[in-house]
Amino acid sequence: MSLEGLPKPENLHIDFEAPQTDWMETPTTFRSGTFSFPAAPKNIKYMGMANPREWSPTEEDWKLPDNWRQIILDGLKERLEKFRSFRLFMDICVRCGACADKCHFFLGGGDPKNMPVLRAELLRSVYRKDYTLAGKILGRMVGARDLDLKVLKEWFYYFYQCTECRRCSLYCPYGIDTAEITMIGRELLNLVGLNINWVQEPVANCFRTGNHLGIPPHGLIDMWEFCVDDIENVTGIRVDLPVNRKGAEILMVTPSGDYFADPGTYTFMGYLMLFHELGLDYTWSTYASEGGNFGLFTSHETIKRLNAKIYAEAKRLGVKWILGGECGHMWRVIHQYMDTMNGPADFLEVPKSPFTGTVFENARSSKMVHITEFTSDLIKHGKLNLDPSRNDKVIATYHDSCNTARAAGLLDEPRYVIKAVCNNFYEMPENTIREETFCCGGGAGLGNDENIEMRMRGGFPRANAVNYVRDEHGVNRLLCMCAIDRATLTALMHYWAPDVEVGGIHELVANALIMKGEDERKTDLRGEPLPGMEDMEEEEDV
Amino acid sequence: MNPWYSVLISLFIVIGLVLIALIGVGSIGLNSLFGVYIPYVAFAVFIIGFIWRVVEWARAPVPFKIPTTGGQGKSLPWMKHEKLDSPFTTGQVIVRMLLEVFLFRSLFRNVKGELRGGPRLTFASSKWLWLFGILFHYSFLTIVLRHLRFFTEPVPQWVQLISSLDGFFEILVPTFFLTDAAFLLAATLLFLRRVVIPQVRYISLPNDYFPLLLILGIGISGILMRQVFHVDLEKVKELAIGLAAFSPTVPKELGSVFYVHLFLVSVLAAYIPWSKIMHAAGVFMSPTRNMANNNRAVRHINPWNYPVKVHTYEEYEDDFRAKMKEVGLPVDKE
Amino acid sequence: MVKLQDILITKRRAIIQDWFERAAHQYPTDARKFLATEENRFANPIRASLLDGMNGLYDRLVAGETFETQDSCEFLDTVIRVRAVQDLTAAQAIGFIFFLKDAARAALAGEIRREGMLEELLTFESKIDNVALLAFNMFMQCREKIYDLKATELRNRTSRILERACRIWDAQERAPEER
Repeated sequence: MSLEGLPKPENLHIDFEAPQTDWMETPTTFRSGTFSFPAAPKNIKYMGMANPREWSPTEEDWKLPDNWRQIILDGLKERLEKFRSFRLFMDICVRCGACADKCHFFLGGGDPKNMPVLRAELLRSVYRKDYTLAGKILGRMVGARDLDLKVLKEWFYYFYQCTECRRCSLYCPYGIDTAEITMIGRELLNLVGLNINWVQEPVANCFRTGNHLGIPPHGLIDMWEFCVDDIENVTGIRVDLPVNRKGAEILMVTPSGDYFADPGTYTFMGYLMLFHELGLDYTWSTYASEGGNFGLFTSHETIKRLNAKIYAEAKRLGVKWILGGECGHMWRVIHQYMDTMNGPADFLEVPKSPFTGTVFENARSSKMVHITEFTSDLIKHGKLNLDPSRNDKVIATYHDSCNTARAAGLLDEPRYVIKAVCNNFYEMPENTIREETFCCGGGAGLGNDENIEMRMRGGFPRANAVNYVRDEHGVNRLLCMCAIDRATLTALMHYWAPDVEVGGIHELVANALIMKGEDERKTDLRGEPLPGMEDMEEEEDV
Repeated sequence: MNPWYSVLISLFIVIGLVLIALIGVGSIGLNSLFGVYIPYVAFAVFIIGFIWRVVEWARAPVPFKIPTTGGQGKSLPWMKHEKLDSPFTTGQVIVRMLLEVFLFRSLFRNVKGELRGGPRLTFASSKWLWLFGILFHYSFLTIVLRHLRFFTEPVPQWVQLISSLDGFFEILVPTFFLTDAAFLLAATLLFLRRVVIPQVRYISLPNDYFPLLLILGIGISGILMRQVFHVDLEKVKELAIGLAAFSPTVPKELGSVFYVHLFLVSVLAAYIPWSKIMHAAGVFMSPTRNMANNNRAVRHINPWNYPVKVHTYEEYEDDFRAKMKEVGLPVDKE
Repeated sequence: MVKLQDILITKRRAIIQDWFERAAHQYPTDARKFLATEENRFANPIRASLLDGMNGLYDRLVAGETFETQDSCEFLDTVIRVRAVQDLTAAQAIGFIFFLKDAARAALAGEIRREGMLEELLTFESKIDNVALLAFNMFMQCREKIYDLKATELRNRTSRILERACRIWDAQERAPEER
């Protein structure tokens, strides 16, 4: 018998080799699980945006306006004149490839068009064709191509496959920011009605009701009181819940993810307990009940339309300054856009902690302080009575969310707070944290369930680093200060690292916080017995 | 476009350019065209084009302050602030930019000691890009500065110093400059990198290969001129000074290889403003690098900030007033 | 007489390398080189997972394990979990296991003829087939997990609202009885 007679395993399969085509000729296929569903017409209509209709990316006809090409090209021209960043980023890339292996979607999936440079080239190629002399004359020779339907579909696929995390921009020798290019790419797509529902629905909801899920004010009160009840069960204390209260010193704004869904809710309870214990003179607002801003994933104009509520409400309520909760992209907007778009906030005062007297100089103009800045200052001045051993069951690591890390530089405040309230804390490997942090794979509106396969790919580099600390140190809690993270990392961990739970920072703060007049705590906020209390639980059960 | 096709086309263009110069000077004898008119035109195109491109960028406003923060921002006084990666003041931004421009700091980020599959500390391959880049740019700069000796009389001391340091190892006669070797090496490596690394090959266009090959052509013709054909440098200087003084005379018996060198330089000069080489100016204007991370402390003004349609509190209360009263929320209008 | 097992142990490195390269060929040309060469496990998690998994699988196959223990399944799981979410068909995702046959035959062709170990080889290959079947189970589990995630996520995102609604519902249901 000879070996030659045996069938070769390769013959059992076909198509293993990827086609060796140039990227401009590689067609885009919309495979279920790797793209997000289009926006429902009512959500586009509500915002008064372009081309509301029912359509599907997998169908041939995308029901575009007849002059879609002209609309996009005009839009492109307008933005080239309005954004130096965009114009510059169209011109100066040398395609050195430094960014190529920095994108989590490329690392986790291997699709070359997810290399940041190529994602930008999708747009650049069209720019060259219409706005540079060389591109007009030499065309493909200089990487220029016509904007046709194929290109547009490619844009839709890949611009809604970028989480605007800015990791690539950190390594670019010229600071070319793919988030900026994606944002403008999406703005252009929006001009002809190409948007995704998981972005557009929160936008429309937030515009009308003030929060992403579209919960009306009485529903919110209900939800928040529910959290107050839960706190009472754990601590025996009924915390204050000031809402829409005029004359309060501080307005508190947090992403709605913090009170709609676990594990965000525990963080929300954390805020309530902390503020109650401090006796903080503050208020929530139902009108400005959303810190998140999905306008960031739609267009600059939409950012401004949604963000306007925060200052407007601060003014109406007559507060002195604003405090913001744990959120990622919310802080990109608050830190880098709010003051410019809707300021100056000259009706507010420079934020000053009523307990420590610390003046938050870094928020002198925008008047809005991050909750970890506020809490770390309290801890530093010994204003909180903490018992970190209550968190001893938690072995924590911390995931920097992209926006607080690379668009605000909020890196050490959360770590300071975590270390003060939790005895077991281990960092993930060096090039996966702080400014080099990996995205959760579901930012920028991609955290929807239809896109789950792509999310699992994109989140793999992050999960891989979590797995490492789980195996090395037994980490069982992935902390983050971002509502999108709390939702998407939960799914990511379920798939890649099933023993690791996800949670916020102020959840741990509240667990450790010794409150005046509280009952002896038997459980943490999740209702799980505290260390040493396991037996007592059982006794009660008997 | 097929990468090999891109390389070949770029190569053919550069060879074509060399032939044009050889034929133009050697066979047809258009010495003054190649020695005077083309350099003048090219230089004018370079200057005007360069300025035009920069002005074009500068005309576009910077609507938002969008620095990429690479470290802890300035917040509480006791929190250690990373001044270089998250600059708060203009001074800190300038230092960040200087390090970026002179040391390619962002590219350097790729260089990092790493544990790879064991306790052995090694370096990631990406450091090569930084190294080739630094080598290439600095030798290019030195060579350009060294060429000033052709345009000045007397030659400034510092130019002489550069030349003498550069030719420190007098291996060959005439002196072979270290930077020439470094330059050719770096350009070749940058080129090979583009061809060898698949991701980089995939993203490369003819307009990535062309300038590299053109620059290689300039380097090679320059070295050939000095080391092999022994072009009379005194005569070169005569032409150069004449050009600089706007009273050019074309000396006889300047070898064809000199004209090839000069023509390629002219082409490069005229090509720069329309190409990616403009990154040299663009890097200074990049908003993610040249802005301070003091967003919440100092308000940035957007010149085209326009009013937008918002959903006001009054409209909101009108929508929900009854329900709000029901749960005891205060309302502005009864 | 030399045993097949011994040869498989001596040539371990080369065979696994060959096996990995055959699997890497399933990725787009442009990404392949990166996937195959970037060795930092955090910068290139796909490679790290594939190699970890393949190394472990190989050792256990050679040792003659039956893949009934948690430990040995974990290695298979490492690889399959990655491939279940990538742009691969089910056949492609699992097919890489069969490439081990190829890699082994290529490396051992000479010895097998000389030593007449065809029978041993066939036994070894049958074990590979078994692993492939196991991999198919795991692949299905991963896919099911993904569908499960989709469903739970929808529920999680609004968990508080649902819980609240249920409580109100319960209260209303109970109310008439109490009266």
